[in-house]
Amino acid sequence: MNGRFPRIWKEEAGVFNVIILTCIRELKGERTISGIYNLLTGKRSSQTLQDAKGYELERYFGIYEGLARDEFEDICKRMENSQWIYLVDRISPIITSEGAHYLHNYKGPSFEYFSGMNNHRNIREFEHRLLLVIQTITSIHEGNYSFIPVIDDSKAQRWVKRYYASLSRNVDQEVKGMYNEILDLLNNRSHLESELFTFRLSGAEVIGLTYEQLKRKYDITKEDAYVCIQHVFYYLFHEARKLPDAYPFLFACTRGLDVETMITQSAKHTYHYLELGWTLEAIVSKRRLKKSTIQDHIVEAALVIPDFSIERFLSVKDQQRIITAANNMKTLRLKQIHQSLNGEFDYFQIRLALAKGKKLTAKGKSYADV
Amino acid sequence: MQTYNLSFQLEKHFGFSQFREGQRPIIESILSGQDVLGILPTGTGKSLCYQLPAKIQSGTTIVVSPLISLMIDQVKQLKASGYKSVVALNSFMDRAERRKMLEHLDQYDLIYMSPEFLQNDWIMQHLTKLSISLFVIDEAHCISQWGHEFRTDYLKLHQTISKLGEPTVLALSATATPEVQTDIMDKLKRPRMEKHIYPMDKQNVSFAVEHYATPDHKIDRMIKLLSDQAVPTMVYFSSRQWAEKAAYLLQVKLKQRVAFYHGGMDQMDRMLVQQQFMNDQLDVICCTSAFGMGVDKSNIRLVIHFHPPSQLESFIQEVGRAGRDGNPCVSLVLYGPKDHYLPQMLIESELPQMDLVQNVLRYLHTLWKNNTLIPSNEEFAEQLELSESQWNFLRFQLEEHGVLKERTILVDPNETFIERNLEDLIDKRWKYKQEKLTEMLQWIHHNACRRKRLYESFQADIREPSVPCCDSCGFRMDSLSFEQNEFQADMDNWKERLAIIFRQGARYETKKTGRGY
Ligand SMILES: [Zn+2]
Repeated sequence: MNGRFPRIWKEEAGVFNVIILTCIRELKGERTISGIYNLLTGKRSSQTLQDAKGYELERYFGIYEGLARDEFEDICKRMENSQWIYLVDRISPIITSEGAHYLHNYKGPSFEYFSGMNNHRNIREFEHRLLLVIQTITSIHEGNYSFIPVIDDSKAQRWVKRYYASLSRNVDQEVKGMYNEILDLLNNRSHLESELFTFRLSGAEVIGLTYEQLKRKYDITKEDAYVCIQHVFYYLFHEARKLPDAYPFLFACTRGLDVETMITQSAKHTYHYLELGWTLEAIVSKRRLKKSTIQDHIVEAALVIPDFSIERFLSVKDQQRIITAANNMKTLRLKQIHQSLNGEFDYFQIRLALAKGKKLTAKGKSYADV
Repeated sequence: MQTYNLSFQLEKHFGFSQFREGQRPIIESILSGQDVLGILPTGTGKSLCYQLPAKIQSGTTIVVSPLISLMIDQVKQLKASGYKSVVALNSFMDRAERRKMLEHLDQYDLIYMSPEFLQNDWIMQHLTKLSISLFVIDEAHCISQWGHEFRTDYLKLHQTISKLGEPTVLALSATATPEVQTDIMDKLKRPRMEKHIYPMDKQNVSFAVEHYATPDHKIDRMIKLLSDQAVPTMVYFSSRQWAEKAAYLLQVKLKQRVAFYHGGMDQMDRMLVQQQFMNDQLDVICCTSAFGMGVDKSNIRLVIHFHPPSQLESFIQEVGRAGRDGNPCVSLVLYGPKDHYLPQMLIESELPQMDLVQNVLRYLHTLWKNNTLIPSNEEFAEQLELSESQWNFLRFQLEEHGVLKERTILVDPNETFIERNLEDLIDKRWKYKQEKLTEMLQWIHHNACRRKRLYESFQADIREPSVPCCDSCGFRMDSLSFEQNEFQADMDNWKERLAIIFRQGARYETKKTGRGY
């Protein structure tokens, strides 16, 4: 293919490796490869939510929903072969000094704007709106009303129709405004991110590239291309929210996308019964679910509903004891905590305390530092 | 009978000033209530034959189409061109969306759906409330056992038509031999359909076949050919892996912009690649037969078959995508000594082997004894390790034998005559497919005029081509000289690209076309 850029990009890339290594470092060998996969793909299970919160990895929750499991496992395999990580019991990764070195020397785009736990679904919607509205308005600007939308999402299509109908400025001004907002914000991103993001967009006369094509054009991995572009969407989203007056178009694209309550429908039902004062056992028989499932729901509620009280399961004092034990041992491993408190609390209670309790204050240290 | 000013209606609804060959007589017959069988080659605007009547007749037009992706593409294109009262009922919709659409069905002039949907009682209930003025069967050769893409769910269409109050019927196909045409009318139980058969032979295409010992040689040949001929090109492969692999190899060696396309890609990627190609942002597309159904790109000059299709009908359709602008174009088949193997495997994966059939019958027998319903289609196919088309075939035959009705087993399937009949049917179908493949292979090895051989089973007279005919009649690939595309080296950086997308900045003025990438 013509127009391929020189290979310099390769050194700058590696974003996705860095995110995975960061997760591995924070998880300290206490979680499996699968656990990390669930985190990145945003699996709504109480275990995954709890991991995200406990290990302060909420930012990365659900940032890569479409990640294929086998591709993820391949990447981990390569990291193992490069000796950046090693696997405890063949499943739980720990970062090595080599890996820590790689993290330390990483010079690619930063990714501080991710806020997956709160926004990953908002960002998907935001992405659809933005891609579609740019294609639509630039096409209309060209007098082309018969273009085929690149986004197949009827919700986003309805939004774009409403947005177009409500335009207060003329199309010419609108297009200029959109262009200036994006140009202005991309100027503050790394060159690679701006390249990837821009070439993903479709306009009146040019159609955006697939990840496969971006991968070739910049000689990076598909995953890096994906993560960089996603990060730009997060960046635009947050900047627009911070400065609505400076970025009225982008701000409009974020309207109605509010922080999500990350609770599954089923857990919501359980929560509802709890609110009515039902006991755990009563809910178990009412809902005909396993006790452990209901317990998962309760942990989930404790994680995501700020004013949910768990005192009926565990006194404040006991909550404190569990948290202290976890902090002292710098671990979130249930088994260790259970043992150190002489088996006084069951796993459910420990999970509950950890879900509700303050996050571990001690920063996870990488294996290399220990 | 009401009379319409058709030219005026055409201009009003579609903005065209003239009908293409064949459209007007078909539309006139439909509007007078006459059932029509229309055989029109691809790229001749078949769909206008019902889209216009749908607009101007009162009542609803239903179009049955076998491919969801084709259906969705058509609806998108119609909507994009301003034809809004159209909908495609398909399995991609979620329940809520589908319900909403069903409640407002009477607002649409044109409803596309797959044949399976017509077997759904809930949907039929909604449809019977409508007044259906026209019932269209697209890709009507799917009705015929002797058509190249037999679909069992097409066989029940005659029942649907009578349930819908016997509306006017239009059956359309791009490739149907006289044998298939008769079968279509038989199966629809409409013996008095008016036939509108238009010649299939493409006058602006030259044919050539070249033989190579290995796939690598074929790749080398393509690199050589495309280095000399920089024109919009489609290359057909019979496997996804090969389409991808060849795209990579060509990307490295050619200055053209190359991409692959197949059914295994995600929806958005497929959409982007397809539109890039339409938009002249791509020059060469390496694809499987999944590509091209909804693509109406007029300037494709070269259609290469890296692997032969499994029958002439598919070949004709695929070649039909070239040269829709009427300018010269070329079909080139690259043939290797092992190339008959892949289509053979495809045939085998479509039809169940006898040991599989026996497994199925044994399993159904157990269910019958225990008086249980059969599992859902997916589950059933998975449990017995059948491919989807294998199970479709068997299910339909068992229903025909009165063994199955939906998920209930009516008679003991262990009767020996059932097994014998199935074996017989499978054998027939297999032989038929083999014959089709043999026909394709014979064409490849044919020494006399390829054009005559290709079209002779479809029409009596073959017209004079407007270009060199074929390699047997003296056409040489090496003598090709197309008007070349210009390839701009594309070194846009992101700021230039952004300016192109929004058509902003001074740069835009100097760069007239946005054909970056
Ligand atoms: Zn000839």
